[in-house]
Amino acid sequence: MNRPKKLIVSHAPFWHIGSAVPERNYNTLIATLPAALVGIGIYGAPALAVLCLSVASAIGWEFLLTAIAKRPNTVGDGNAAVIGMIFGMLLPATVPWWLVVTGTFVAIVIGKQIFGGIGANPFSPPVLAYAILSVAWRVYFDYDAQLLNVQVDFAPFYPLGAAKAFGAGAVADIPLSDLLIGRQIGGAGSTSALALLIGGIYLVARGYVRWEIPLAFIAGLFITATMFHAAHPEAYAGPLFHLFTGFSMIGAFFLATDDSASPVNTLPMLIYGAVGGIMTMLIRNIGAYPEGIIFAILLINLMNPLVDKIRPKAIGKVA
Amino acid sequence: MISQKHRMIMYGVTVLLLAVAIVGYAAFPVKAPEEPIRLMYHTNAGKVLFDHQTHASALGFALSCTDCHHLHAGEEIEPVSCAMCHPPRPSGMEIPESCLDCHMTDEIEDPQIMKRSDALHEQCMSCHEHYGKGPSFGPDECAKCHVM
Repeated sequence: MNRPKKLIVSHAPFWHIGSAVPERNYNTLIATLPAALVGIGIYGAPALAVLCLSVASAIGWEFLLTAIAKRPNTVGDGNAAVIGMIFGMLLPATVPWWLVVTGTFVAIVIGKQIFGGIGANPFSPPVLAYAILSVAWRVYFDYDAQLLNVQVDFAPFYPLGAAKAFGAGAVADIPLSDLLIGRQIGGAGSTSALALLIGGIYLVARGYVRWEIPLAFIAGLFITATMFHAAHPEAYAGPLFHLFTGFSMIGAFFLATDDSASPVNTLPMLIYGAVGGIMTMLIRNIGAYPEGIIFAILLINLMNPLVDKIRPKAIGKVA
Repeated sequence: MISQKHRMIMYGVTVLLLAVAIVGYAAFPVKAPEEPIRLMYHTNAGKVLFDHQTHASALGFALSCTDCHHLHAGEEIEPVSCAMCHPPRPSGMEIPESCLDCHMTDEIEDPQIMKRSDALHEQCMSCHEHYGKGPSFGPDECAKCHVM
């Protein structure tokens, strides 16, 4: 029987597409800029200081670690800058400098370099750093407590904290438009759902992030939040509120999509993203923490090697 | 490929960002303003977030200072922090020992200084009851204000 050829590969020489690791990271940095600028616009100089220190110290730790470990200097690939930027965007704008520097140390050293550098990290480095530091110094990650002295002209409380403590009624008056444009208490660069969505769509359009993970993440979060809200509307806030507040958008597009901590095939990506969204809502609504994204993403990072086993069968037989 | 050019750009950016961060932290520290914006009470029964600015400003509930803070005997002085008198006080503060240190006898019912938690409970609840606004309260309603 004449069977068509399934795989055709031409011989060398190949032509490099021109895009490499640095371009990928620089584009990710560009994608974070709209949300970071919104954060600076709302919280002012303190947010700028946190973001700048976070990026600079992350690059500094990368330089030091690669020098000490006698590894190739990877500062130029921009990955440390991306980790620093995303970590800074999660922090309250008023955190002390030592917390930022410690956090980027944990992200770069424990989150990345210990495992062998870029591409070898099993967890998203900024998420791991946030998780370790928020357990160690809980009060610095309490947005209400940290931003007490910041003058704002919108709802002056952390929406997820209020929704968890006082029910859906406490956040019913917050306009969704405020949450979209970033007029909410939260991280130095993670409050504007719209800006993060623009950055995320840019990354998807350029092909640096596959659409499956963010879409499945958002769908998992949205559907779970809808079910909770339908069951107890007075206790659990609606799906749009949960989608536009906390770390939902930065989680879907920037945290869950970490290269080496997320799967590569379509079905695994869909499962990975959906479980992340579902776990986020379970932790937010019935867990101990107001914001569930951090631990949900650590969990799906752990799950990644397992779901990555769902892959197409190799053509041919092993002799 | 990671070229020398990329590396030099990163070094330059790092130095620049570090300089901005140092200036930002040194020149624009977030200090507690003289009149508080929001206050957080860390109590045995969880934290309580109090929006001082909304209670005091004309655009908010427009309360005057003396609706909550005491007038002091014989002189007009700025309202002080509740913790200045109502214990537990900041470490090292021994005075006042009695309400009479600042108040006249006709201003107060009992010279014994109330604990801060009792004073705040009475203050918050009586006002909210008077206006019929804000979170409900009572023996089973702690979680309307306290966040565990």
